[in-house]
Amino acid sequence: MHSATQPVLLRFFRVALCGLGWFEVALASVALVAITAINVVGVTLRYGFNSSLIWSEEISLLVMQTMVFVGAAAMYKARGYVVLDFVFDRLPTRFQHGLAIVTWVLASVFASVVCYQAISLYPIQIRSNSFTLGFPVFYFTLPCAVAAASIALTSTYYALSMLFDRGDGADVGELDRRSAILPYIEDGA
Amino acid sequence: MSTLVLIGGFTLLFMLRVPATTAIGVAALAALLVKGDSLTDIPRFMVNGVDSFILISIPFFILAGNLFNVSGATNRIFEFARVIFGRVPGGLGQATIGSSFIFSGMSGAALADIAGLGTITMKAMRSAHYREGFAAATVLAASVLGPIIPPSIMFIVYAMLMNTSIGRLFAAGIAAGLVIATFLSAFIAWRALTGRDVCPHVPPVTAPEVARTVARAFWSLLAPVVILGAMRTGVVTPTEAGAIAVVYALFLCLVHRSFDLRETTRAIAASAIMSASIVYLIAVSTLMGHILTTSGVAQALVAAISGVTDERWVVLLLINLALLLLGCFLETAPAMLIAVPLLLPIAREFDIDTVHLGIVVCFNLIIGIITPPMGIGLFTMASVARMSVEEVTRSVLPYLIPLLAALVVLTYIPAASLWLPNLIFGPSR
Repeated sequence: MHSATQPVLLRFFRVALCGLGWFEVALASVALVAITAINVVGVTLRYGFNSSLIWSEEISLLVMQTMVFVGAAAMYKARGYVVLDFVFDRLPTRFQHGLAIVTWVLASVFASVVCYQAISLYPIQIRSNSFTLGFPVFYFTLPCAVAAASIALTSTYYALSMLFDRGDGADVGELDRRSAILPYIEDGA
Repeated sequence: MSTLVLIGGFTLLFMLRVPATTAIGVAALAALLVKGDSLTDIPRFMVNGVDSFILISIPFFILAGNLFNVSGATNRIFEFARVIFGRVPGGLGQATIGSSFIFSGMSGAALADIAGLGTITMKAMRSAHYREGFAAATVLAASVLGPIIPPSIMFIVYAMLMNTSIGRLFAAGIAAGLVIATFLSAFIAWRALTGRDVCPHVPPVTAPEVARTVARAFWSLLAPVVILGAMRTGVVTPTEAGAIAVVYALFLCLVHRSFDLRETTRAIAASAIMSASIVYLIAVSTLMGHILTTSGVAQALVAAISGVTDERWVVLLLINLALLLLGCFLETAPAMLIAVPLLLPIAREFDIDTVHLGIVVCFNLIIGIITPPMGIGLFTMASVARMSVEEVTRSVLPYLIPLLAALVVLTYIPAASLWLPNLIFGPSR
């Protein structure tokens, strides 16, 4: 849900992020199914047919990198991260809004640094290969770079959204709920 | 200086409601800038943090736990526990402890127990006219068994950080779970017998009824045996055991005729995102661990403790107090990721068995999920039971007595948890 006070461009930005978010959820889910399948097939082949998939561990790790980093980007969009509220809740509302904007600017800066530094590893890592399948090592870093870019965009949206919506008197918790890009997926640990 | 920036920065940012991963990342970025290290360390350590085959078991066990809930196994296990333990003083309270113990062998986390079993046990206790506070507190206290009895996500993370045997940790977890369940069960019986809580008797059950309940729960009860048995016999690695748990959960969905494509898809998506959030935190924390290790802060901490005492029991007391405090304010995963790299040199210096320490660390931090102000279990239970957080908190506080008593036993009698790994794998070297 978005606020009527948000500029059209920001609403469009949100729709684009929402589409990206669902794609990330789908990709992370497919990755989880794929890792499960690879490991089940590996065990079945080993004990049922006395054979083995020598590449299963390496592929599992590559798919795991994808699931973790892409899933983390989706987790930011569902606002499923861990925060500590009890000090923040005692601060004046105006101060809370300001801090929330700073938080998301910091998150965006950090994610941008991660993305830039991950891409800067390309010239070195594209030339060194993994042990079993000979994949360029950069393939393992790529999900981190892509997810960091996505988190940077999401954080930028949250900062802008807080900036435009803070005037309507709602507290930060309420504004957070309203600006969440994906619904929170409740099941889990 | 870099350590001060890292720890001070993280604490300040986290207190100001910055997400844990961002707080750790920004503090680590500032610390690297102060140290003058290359910033390419950030993605390198984050990627290396995930590059561990054992971590793959985390999404497996989370998915298996969610699928076990979809399969209806939770209901059948509670019915079984009600029939077996319901006649013990405390009635359905005892059944709750029993079913949590069994369900913990299928899921790896406390919140899965609260969300899955909590709904069923609360409903049963409400209909049997148990006090709501008693019911919620019992479910919440029993949920601490989830991360202790294997498969346990916390143990997997701990084993990875400490480079210790997961098999031994899992075995020690079963022994520790028995100790905790015994203390909780005795406490409930005492409250029921002294009239502190009214626990109506569960009506007697006939032999055919017992047989029917056992038959209905048979495949669900077999799940922990399949998962742990496969690991114990060495047929599969802990990671592969996780994959087998997922397949077994799907098998249960089919056997119980509860397979629902929509629910299963939802469980897969939820598990993927939940696992990603845990492992991403590990990835970012790897960077923090690297800075703490290279700056020598762990060694300084060992020197400081050695300066105060050379008694192992005092060191264990200090560790307990520090972790209980940490657990009150931090979620279990970030608390563990911060504490464990610092505890490793202390364990070496004072000759503390890393498996024993693992039980102590995990149990301390788990108690934090049911204590205010940050007890995530309190919030989840309040939502499941439709009660206020204050009510749930007030009701669960007495349960800290048996839990802390169990903590003392597990801390100061290492054999209470180590007898089982020593029996299965032989004494540790």
